Amino acid sequence: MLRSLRLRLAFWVAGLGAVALGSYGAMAWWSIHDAVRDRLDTQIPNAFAHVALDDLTRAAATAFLLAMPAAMVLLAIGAWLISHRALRPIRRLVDSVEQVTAAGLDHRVPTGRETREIEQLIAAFNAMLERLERSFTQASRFSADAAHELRTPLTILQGEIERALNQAEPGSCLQNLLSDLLDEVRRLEGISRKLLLLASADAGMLAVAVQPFALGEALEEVIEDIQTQGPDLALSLAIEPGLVVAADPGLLRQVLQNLASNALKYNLPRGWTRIEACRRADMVELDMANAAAGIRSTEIGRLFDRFYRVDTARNRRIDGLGLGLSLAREIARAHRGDLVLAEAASDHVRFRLTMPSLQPR
Amino acid sequence: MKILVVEDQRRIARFVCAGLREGGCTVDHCDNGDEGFARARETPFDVIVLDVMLPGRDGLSVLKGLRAAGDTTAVILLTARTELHDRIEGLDSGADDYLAKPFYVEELLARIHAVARRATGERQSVLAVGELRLDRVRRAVTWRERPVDLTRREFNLLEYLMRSAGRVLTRTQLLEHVWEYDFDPTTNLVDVCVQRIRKKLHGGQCLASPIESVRGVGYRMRKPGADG
Repeated sequence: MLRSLRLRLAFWVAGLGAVALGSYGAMAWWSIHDAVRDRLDTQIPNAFAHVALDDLTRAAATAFLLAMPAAMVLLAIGAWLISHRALRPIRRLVDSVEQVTAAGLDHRVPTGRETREIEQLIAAFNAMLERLERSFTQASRFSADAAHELRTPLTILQGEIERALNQAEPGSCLQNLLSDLLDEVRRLEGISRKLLLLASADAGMLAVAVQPFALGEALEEVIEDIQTQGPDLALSLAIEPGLVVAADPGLLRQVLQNLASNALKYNLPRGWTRIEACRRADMVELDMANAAAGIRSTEIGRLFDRFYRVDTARNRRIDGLGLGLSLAREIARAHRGDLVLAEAASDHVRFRLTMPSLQPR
Repeated sequence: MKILVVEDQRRIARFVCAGLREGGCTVDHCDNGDEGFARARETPFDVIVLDVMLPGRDGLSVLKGLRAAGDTTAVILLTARTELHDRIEGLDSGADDYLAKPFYVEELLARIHAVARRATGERQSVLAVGELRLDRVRRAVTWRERPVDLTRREFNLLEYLMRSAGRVLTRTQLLEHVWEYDFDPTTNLVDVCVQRIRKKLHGGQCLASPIESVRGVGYRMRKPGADG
């Protein structure tokens, strides 16, 4: 019930104190009381003295009972204050761990300054980080190495097929086949490139060459594409003019296209799309919403998972990698922005991209 | 045009050299940096195509050596797409352009022509194929002397087709170059955009269209004199 360790400590100390004090008080009182009565019986065998003793006993018991709660409160306060001191190393540990989480897996909690018990905790935590870091770098190294190794065979395949395609009889079956093969090579290249990007994002080394990026112009292109591909979609826009963000142009275009293509792919027939962009403090917020059959709550949490695709019988036709959203989010975060599912209603979804603004306030 | 290709991967070198020869270039090839540097120093070339990862002297070191020796031959670096620092370092070391692997030979040829033009000081901002003229600087297009108003995408698509006139370009190739989209079989962007350009040029009558459809593959800009 009590979630705070300090509060619990205070309660326990007060409770234990009450039991200890109570039993000590009772034992002390009765032994004194018995001794006094023995004396009275032998030396002053007088009824009045006995009555006086009983009154005294009652008064003392009342005083004790009244004093108990006060003592408990004092004890609890004392325990509260002492536990503040006692728990200080834990708070320091929490601060260090938070720093590690923010800075990356290669950081360690500093040792050698705490008590033995806390030091054991730090050592265990650091050992866990060590293992995590190792398996993490291995996994991302693996993707990166795989992508590098794939590059040469892909280059050869693409080059040879392209050449053969241009030598084949125009419109022939062979040329058709070569064109399909070339598409598959490009698909492979796309996957390997995205895996490499994700791997470098995981390693915290996604290289973003940031420069001023005119969001409005890029959105114009995206809007042209949406209109071309979904001529019967109702498109509404609310884009603040002159928005400039700090971004790697190639990477941000990829994010915008991913959002646009999702808005098209998961839209309803004769549905709608709405794009809003505005500046909020030192960030630019871009909202892209579209009509959609509601996303199940079990799917919402997995939407940004790698290779995950909202896949129902209804939209089997949708082809894609399932890497788009997770990569788009990594790209946004590498720019110190973010990409979130801002709204998942029963009839529409809305994604929100935030990017650092590059405008004088 | 005389080209030196420095590339250690034999099979990559094979199709690059063959593709460049088919594109009308005279091609010389070496498979390591030291030999490449020596060859570049003893023979004048118009353009050097230099792989970054080479046995012996790597591409960047060859490039720096050439520039240090006062050699201003145009150089195109071949590098990995995501190795961003390669690009920055490469352009800092005096490369004229760079191309990420995997690449289309068609793209390499276009870049070679572009850097060669730049090197000779020839500023060709106007592309002309048949009765089509496209001004890259003013972003203006005329068809039979009549101005044609195109959107950004339409302009870029037409420029790309004209640049590689006579070559078949697949839908994916067009999608990647003009839209910078990845391969996506569900999209009809390219077809819709080509239809629009045709409509704007000549009201959509396909017969005389300078943009020829290649069934099941993509499109090709008709080269006057070549065929039809």
